[in-house]
Amino acid sequence: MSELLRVEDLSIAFGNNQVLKGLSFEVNENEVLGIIGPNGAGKTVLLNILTGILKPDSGRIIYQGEDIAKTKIVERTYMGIGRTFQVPRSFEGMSVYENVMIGGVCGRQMTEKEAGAGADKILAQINMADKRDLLAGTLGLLDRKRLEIGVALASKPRLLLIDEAAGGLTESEVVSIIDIVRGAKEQGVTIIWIEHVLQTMIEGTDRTLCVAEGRNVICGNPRDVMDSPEVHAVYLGTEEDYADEGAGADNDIAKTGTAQALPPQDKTLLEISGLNVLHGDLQAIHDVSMRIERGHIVSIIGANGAGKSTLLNTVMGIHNPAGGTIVFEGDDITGKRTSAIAEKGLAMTPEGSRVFADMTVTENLLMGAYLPAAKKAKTEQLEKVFEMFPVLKEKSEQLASFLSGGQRQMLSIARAIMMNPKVVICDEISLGLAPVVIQDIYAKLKELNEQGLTFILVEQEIKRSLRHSDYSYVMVKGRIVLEGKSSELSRSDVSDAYFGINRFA
Amino acid sequence: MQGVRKNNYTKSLAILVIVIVLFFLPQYGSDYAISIGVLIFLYISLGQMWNLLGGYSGLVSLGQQIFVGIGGYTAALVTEVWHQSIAVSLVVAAGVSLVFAFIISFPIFKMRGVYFTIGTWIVSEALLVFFRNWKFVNYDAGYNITIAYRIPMSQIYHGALVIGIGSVVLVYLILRSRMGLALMSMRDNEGAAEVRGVRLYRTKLYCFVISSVYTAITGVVLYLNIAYIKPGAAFGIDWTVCMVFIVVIGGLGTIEGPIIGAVVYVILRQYLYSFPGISMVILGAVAVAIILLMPKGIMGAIHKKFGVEVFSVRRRIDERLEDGS
Repeated sequence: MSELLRVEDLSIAFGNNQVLKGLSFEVNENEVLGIIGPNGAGKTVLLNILTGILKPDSGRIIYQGEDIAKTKIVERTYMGIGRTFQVPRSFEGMSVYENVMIGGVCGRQMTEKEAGAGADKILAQINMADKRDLLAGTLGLLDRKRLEIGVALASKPRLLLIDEAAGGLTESEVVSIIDIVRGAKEQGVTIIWIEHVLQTMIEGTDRTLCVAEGRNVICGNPRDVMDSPEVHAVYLGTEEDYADEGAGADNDIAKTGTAQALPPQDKTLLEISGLNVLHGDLQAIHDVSMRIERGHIVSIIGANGAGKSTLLNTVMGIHNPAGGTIVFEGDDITGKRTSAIAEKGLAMTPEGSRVFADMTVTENLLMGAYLPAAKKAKTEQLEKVFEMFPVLKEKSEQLASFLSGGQRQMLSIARAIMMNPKVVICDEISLGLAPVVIQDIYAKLKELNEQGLTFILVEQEIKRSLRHSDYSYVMVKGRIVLEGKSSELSRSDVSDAYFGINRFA
Repeated sequence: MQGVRKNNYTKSLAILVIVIVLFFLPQYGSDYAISIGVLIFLYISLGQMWNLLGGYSGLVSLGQQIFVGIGGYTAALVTEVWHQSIAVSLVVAAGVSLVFAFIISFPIFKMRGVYFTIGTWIVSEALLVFFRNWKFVNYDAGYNITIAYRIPMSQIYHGALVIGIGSVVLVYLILRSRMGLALMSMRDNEGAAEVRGVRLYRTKLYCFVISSVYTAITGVVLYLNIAYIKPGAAFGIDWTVCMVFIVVIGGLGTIEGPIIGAVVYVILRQYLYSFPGISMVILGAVAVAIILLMPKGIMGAIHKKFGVEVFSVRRRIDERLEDGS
């Protein structure tokens, strides 16, 4: 087999964040290469570099024996590089048929007649012949995902780059996507397929490459890669990480002891039962129930698209559930306004910290005490917060945009604490941070927890979640597939639930 | 499918009847009706051309008065100073605006988004100052365009009618061409369009040049109707404000939008002459109300409710199936 694309030593940084650190791999003619890796591994950035949207800092991209690092976006399309987008970017005001025609007319300089004939074949191939005259803006998720592939195929690519075609789809829908990709391969197309739904890798790819923190981890036969200790280490942590979990476990026992002194109804702080959430026609949360005990750290673990953030947003009243109840301290808060829910004592640190960049640290903190009750106590609370986070006191008059990533995350937590909450929900607080910084943040959480604050942590990093929490829930595709005391969950249980291989294959 | 065909015939027939009725309007209509017609046709053209930029190419220009001004001044200079015919002034206006649009595209196309918008405006303001201090165009005094007194109103009416219908046909043909697919994809998602192989810069440049030249030609007839030109009015941002108003209330990125918008705008403005002082406030309130109630403009709301499109540029499968069977 001859080589179609070779990527050598690709590096790119955004500010201080080195996203790709010397990534190298190659793809052969008519091969399907799968790429997996946790969130933030640099997968979408890689596709943006391959299509010319981003320029790498260093490294070479050899396509058909030619270095294309300086080639423009459209030129690469003409050279036969097509792609799909993770969030489908269909042309919403145009019909399905016209969307597909774009690929031929603009990507391959065909006449409308040629492109039209080609479009008919492609519509049949993606099973959308009956929807040709519908506006793309009216389509459901599966159809949009299919259409993405169809539009890309219409430009007759030699190399097709697929960014998450299966995310958010049901199992039978995923199967139909796999069929479409296989069909493309049979026509001689070479494919690079990025995916979080790992099952697709086993069924749809010839070779799988695992990428983590901007480097290649392992590459080979899909099943071997899934079963390899390296990949498990990337997603779940290594055996050594589990070994020094001891301290956490002891702590857990001690705390359960004190908690048991309380009557059971007081122990439960937040109870979610039978929760269902829809995003349009996609069911993001299926019948989820969980119980958060006072004084605990509870972690919710799951891959990208598992429904974790949707769950949190529903608890905070940002989404309305289609069914089920959320009870906080005995009060039903289902479907209440977000401000009313916050007033009851639920605070959230959003993914990516979201500090107010052009305000000073102090101003950011005061924004946390915006609700009337918190406003009254803001001066004392500010002192308390500065005591807890000395680094923020040091930088109190600086703009938040000057803080480092770790300090921003600290500020985000401190801002949540300004309203003196009972629970703090943390959405991916370790994302994109250096390990040392993450340790600092978790140490701070522990400290706050010992003072009686309850935490709900949402994480993709399993090892960290298990080590730092009392109780854990594992979510896959909107359902809770596993739960238990963090100290008692076995590595193989979590691994099976997380990778889902045994249940799907 | 038979229904679609039949529907198309009915539609074409209706459009033909309307055009014939409009063509013979000077024979039976009042002078007032004729003057309103002139304004509506010319504003349809201005709206269509701005829509090509703002509605399809994502180029929100606040400087299209540049080309209204160029058209107007060309008409004045060619007929008053050089004593040539109106036909000559139309050709000269097209030529000058073509060259000018091409030259200013180099600096202003380097700017994106809101900077492009501000950039086009600055060019127009600079041109205004330049014209006020330019002996060649008689400084700030401007010109009376006396040829306008000598031509009958019905001729201006027919000129405006041709320009108005011409603008609709031009935009329709562009959208039915290969470039039309590219334009519509740019309207819907510019980033994705580029990855699909649309040459953004080139397509935008074509649109900018076409729009500017046709706006200048429209400007010639506009100023034949006004019969007096001076820099402040010719290069005033009011021209572009009304183009934006017409397109936004009519429906951005549709062919019908600017037509509806122009009719609403011209008629509304006639009524508002009885409310001097607050007329602009009322116009603004109408715009805000329409944007709030119908975010995609009047045409967008009609299309959503009834699924009607008068000038459909859809590539449909039925056309080809019918040819085959």
